[in-house]
Amino acid sequence: MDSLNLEQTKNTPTVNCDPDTGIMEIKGSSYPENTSEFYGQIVDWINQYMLNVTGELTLNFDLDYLNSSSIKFVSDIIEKLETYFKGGGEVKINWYHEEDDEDIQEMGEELKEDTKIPFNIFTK
Amino acid sequence: MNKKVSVSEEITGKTKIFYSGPITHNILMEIGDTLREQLDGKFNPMLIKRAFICSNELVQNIGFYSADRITLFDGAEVGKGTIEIEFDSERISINTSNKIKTAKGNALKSRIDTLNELNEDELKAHYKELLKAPKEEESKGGGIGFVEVIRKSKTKLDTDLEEVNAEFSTIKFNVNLVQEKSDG
Repeated sequence: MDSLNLEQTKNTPTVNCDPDTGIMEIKGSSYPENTSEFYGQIVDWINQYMLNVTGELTLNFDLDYLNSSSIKFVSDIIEKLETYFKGGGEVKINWYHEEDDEDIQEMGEELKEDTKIPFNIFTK
Repeated sequence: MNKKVSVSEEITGKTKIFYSGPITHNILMEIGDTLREQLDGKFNPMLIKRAFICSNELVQNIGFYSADRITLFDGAEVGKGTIEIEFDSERISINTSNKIKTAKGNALKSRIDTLNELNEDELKAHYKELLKAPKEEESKGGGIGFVEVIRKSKTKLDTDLEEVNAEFSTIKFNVNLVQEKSDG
């Protein structure tokens, strides 16, 4: 299975998904022109991974801004992983925020409240 | 590249950022960049970021809801509308307007008026419901973007509907962000 690597742009985050380690990193700002096209690539990669690799997955979210359609996709991704987790898959989410960014911190806390997946929130 | 978003000093002492026309993604980004440049150093970073969030959501909504639509050279269809961001030393006021079918505008206004009545916890619960709702249902319901604007501005999203003719109206949104004294 291939890795997924997308370079950061002004309005899209860096994405690195490694099938060998099961580590996914999404870092930067997220307000793509076409949100479903952008996140569709990540969702496809996760689907492939859950089907073919069935290993452990670690998601590192290090985002400084997400527009509302991006938040919706992040929530969908977590929901997808929840199914994997409940089926016995090993999943972990790490959510990073700047010390003074209470909005990104709060977003992490709210996503954490609604999932059973181990969810760590870190101040950078 | 020529700037399409204008910045002017008003006779009132306020600064105004203005754009009227088709809302492409490049325009959305230019409005956001201009807003950040202009507000930088004048308000605390968290308030500037919240203004950026509110502006992006409201500008994007013009694209979704405007009945005045145009097909661009590349074949993409976008909505047209107007955005005006005014600020002085205390307050940032974000205003957008676009044409809308009156029936749709009334439905949207009544939904936003309902959202404005919710307290912080109710807004949070509603926000979470929308995050989990199927995408089609979420956007038909008025969109998570409006809830985001109300939550981030910590105030109300004023909505006004002015009839243009029997079929269409102009829908106007206004949200104000004020620096809290303790933010100092």
